[in-house]
Amino acid sequence: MHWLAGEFEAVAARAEALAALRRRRAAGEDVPRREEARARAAFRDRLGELVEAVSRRPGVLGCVAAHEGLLVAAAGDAPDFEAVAAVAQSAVLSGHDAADKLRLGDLRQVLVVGERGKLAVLRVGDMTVGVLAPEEVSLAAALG
Amino acid sequence: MALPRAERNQRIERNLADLTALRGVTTAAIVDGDGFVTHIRRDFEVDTDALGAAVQIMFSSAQRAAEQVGQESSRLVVSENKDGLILLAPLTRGFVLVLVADASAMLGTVRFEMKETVPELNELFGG
Repeated sequence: MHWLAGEFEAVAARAEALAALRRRRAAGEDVPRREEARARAAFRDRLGELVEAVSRRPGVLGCVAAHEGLLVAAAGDAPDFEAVAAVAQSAVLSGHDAADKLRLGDLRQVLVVGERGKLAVLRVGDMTVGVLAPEEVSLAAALG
Repeated sequence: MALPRAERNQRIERNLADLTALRGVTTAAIVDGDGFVTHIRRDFEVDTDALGAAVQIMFSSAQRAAEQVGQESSRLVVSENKDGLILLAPLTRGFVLVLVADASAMLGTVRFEMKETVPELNELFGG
């Protein structure tokens, strides 16, 4: 997924910038709240752009970003974006559990494939990104 | 050291402005423990007296419900309505942060930003 990897890198960089500010604050440093708010907005905006861009890729039905199972951004065409956000969160929890039990390392992706469609779930910072596509679409090709 | 009142108010207003800049958020306000709106940022006319009173009723009901089921204090109250949302978050000293949003708002974004804003507001309200 070369294209997606590049897009994710850009979002992840902003997530990391925000996480770094939080770490500094947790360590007792006086980090200006304004700086943190700006970092949060930059992360949120870039995440929104990612969701829009993913939803426009050929074969992709829709894309959502969620925080703790609740919608942060959505684009494309899905019958119920809120359900996708909630299910993506559940998938991440299950994936974490499986990765932990099998000692697979940090969770990178969960793929749910049904008879009619598939959902790929990825994590970036505090957020979960879900990509919906019909079953016959190769997500590797669509997002590569 | 306590901030000068003007700077404190400016920072509170800026936080409220940031919250109303979120998609779908039409009003961000601070309500005190007596139900009076102390700060407000809004995109449309709203009866502040009614808003303040309603917020205190809503929040105290949620708080009682939480206590009844042994969940202690409320951290966030969400009212999902036909045409939008009302979210309440308790601040220090009995103040409550209230957001009103229309149906275009993304609940996850609003909730996330609200939680992130609470610590600064608590600092500004002397928590």
